[in-house]
Amino acid sequence: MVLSRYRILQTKNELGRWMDAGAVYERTYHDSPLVAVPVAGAGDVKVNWREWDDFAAREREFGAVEPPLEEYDKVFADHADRYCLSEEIYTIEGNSYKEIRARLYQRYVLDPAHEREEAERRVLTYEVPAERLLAAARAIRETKGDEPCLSG
Amino acid sequence: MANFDHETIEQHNVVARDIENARRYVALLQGTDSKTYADIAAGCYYGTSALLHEVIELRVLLNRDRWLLVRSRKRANKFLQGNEDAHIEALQVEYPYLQRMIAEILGEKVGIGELVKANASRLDFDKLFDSELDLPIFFPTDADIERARILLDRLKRFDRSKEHGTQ
Repeated sequence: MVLSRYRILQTKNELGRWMDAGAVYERTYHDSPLVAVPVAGAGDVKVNWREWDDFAAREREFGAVEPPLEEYDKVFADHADRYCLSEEIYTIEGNSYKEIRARLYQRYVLDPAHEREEAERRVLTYEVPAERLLAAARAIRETKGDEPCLSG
Repeated sequence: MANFDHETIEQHNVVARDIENARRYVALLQGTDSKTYADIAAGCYYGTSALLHEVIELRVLLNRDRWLLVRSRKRANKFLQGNEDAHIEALQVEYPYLQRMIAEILGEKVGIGELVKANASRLDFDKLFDSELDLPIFFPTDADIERARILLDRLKRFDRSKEHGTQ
């Protein structure tokens, strides 16, 4: 088993609300020292390419293994209005770092995707109430036809 | 059409439609003012590596959603998040290609790990390291990364000189 420490990465969305968008976790590569590594969505990185290019350049300035997890905020410092890391440091266990990364990705990157799926479901369920409304309207019309006219 | 590395383009069966799709994809996700868009437009070896990445990634994505290119940027972004393996597959083609070109053109051996760290970020290094890549990928030192950065600059300069016919 591998134990890793991580901090949650948050970004500010278009509504100005901070949302979980990934994590920064600690790992080693074979016999490398411990390195703090971000986990973020490939799409987010591509869309916000200017910011992520800046982060990559900043990482290179610090060198191959710096900064440590506690100081990783430094990488996001130039875009602190849009990116922040949780003050809390969490721990996660897995059979490998690969599994840990996949679990962090699932939990913090793909969670907003669940919102999308729900949004898609709402579109689908829209057809159901529409159908039900139609059925209800048909039922009312039929009922009205059956009922005697009260004013008559 | 930019002056791409035709041998590699043919090797990966990249046709005009792939290039046009890649152009639309980069414009959709990153905009026409993005670095990737400019890299591809510049062509040559470095542009070919950027093009290969987008073509490979997009082929996987279009197999799963053939309407991806007419989706909104937000939707395309979310789709890519959910299909991260497409990006990893693209990295697996892009970096061995860059490594091979640096060896062939500049006569220098360079590791994939340092190339990724010099050209992209820890994010991509991490993904590639954990992928099922056949080639060995080692954790680079600061000196390795700096050397890879210089080699990439030399490759880009070679591209520019080739473009201007001064090679």
